[in-house]
Amino acid sequence: MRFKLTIIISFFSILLLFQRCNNDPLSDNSYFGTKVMIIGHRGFSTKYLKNPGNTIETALISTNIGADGCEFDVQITKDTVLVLFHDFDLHPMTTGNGKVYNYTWEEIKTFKYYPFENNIYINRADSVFSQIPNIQNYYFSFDCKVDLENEDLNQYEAKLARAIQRLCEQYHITQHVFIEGSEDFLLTAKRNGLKNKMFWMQEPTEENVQIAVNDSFFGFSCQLKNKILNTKIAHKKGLRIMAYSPKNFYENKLTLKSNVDIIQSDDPISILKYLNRYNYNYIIP
Amino acid sequence: MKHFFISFMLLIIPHILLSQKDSSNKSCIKLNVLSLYNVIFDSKKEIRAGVEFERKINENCSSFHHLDAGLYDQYDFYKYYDFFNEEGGLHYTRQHVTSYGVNLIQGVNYRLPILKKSKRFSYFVSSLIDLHYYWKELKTTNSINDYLIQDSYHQFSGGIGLGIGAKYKISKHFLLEANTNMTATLFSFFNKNENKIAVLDAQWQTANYKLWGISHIQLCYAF
Repeated sequence: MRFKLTIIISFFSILLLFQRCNNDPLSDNSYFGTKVMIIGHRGFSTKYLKNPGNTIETALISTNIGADGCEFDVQITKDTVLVLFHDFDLHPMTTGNGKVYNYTWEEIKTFKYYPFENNIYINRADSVFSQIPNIQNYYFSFDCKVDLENEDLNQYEAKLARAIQRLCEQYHITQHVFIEGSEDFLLTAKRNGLKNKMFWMQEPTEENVQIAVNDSFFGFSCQLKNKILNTKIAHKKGLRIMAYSPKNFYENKLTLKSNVDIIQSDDPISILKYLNRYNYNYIIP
Repeated sequence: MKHFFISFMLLIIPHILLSQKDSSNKSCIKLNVLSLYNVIFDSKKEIRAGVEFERKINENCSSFHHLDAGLYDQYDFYKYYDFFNEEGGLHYTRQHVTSYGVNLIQGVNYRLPILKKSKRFSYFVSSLIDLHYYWKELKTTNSINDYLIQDSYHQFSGGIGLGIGAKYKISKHFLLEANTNMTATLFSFFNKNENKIAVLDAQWQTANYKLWGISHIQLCYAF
């Protein structure tokens, strides 16, 4: 018994020692001579909280722990109020049923996030942005949720683009809000006068890089899915890469190894700690 | 003043109990391995140790004195601005944080009689007082003008709490102990109100630092 225990303790000690020694430092220097930006996914990862994300609570955690901002999922209501919500359908995430754009804000605001015990309701974007202190020190990425089943898709896209524009102008944050979306939506947004940095939600293949250059997009937004991404082609053409949803420390490091420019992480804490960018002084509520 | 009195009373309770006749005179020294967690898994520098002395009062009761002290925090916190060089170029603020501290937990363990039957395992509940003194230095540099702001804070606070734990007897002299305590603030004195220091040996605490939880995993030598 004692012998077995000694073996087990020795094994774990060696494992810990190896983990400690195998600390090949990765740099957060970006290809463009600045730093890799770290932002929280859906405000802040839902893995730490009983919170659906896309709320003021999650956004404040991201900005307070040292992240450079956060990502939100945006949609508009029937009366063109910009709201933060991930799914196209209100069910099963909330007590509502049907599409967000079929309801007015007065109706939407009564829907509670169903699976969660807390009293959390859908947040409207301007309410969240009004509560973030020193907002111009942070960056936000809007994953624009455009439902292709929408009967009047072109009009919806135009309304969504204008709602984003109004918000950016209200808070003077046009250069600090990125727009993520399909090529169609990004072009519609450009036609409607949006000056934000546009990120096309595609992989940066040679063909896509050429299209992005022609469309004057700022970069690509893509998921790594446990592989190293080839960012060189895009970088050479001056395009940035935003990688979303690394879920843990290992995936964060893999993303960093890919030389991406922006990491939209589900686990921002581990990567911020690794890069000496974590604010230990802040305690997550 | 009343806080001091309560603290004082709680501090001397173990000693009063110790003065009772001790039949077995069994003592135990312990090393807390959980205090090494951050040293291994965090990027901040931490040089500290947690040791405990426990002395049996009678069959069911023992008093303990747990000391955790050292350098709790030494890290840099970089915050970058202007990632796209649009407003004068990338710049940053760097906060160099150093925190030293002493945590003293004193209390009484009471062995749960309902679980006495196991030869190797024993379970206990504790009542305790947790006192801590911290000193923190903050040096903030701005890369734009290399301007340095230096500030230091110190804080003395205490709380009372309850805990539960378990011991596993490995051999005649060696034991493994795990315990966890929940403590609430009783008093707190600090030189700067706006920068309260968190309880540095706590694994969990509320955002207002009023309630905290400390766990220990200890290797014990009994003699």
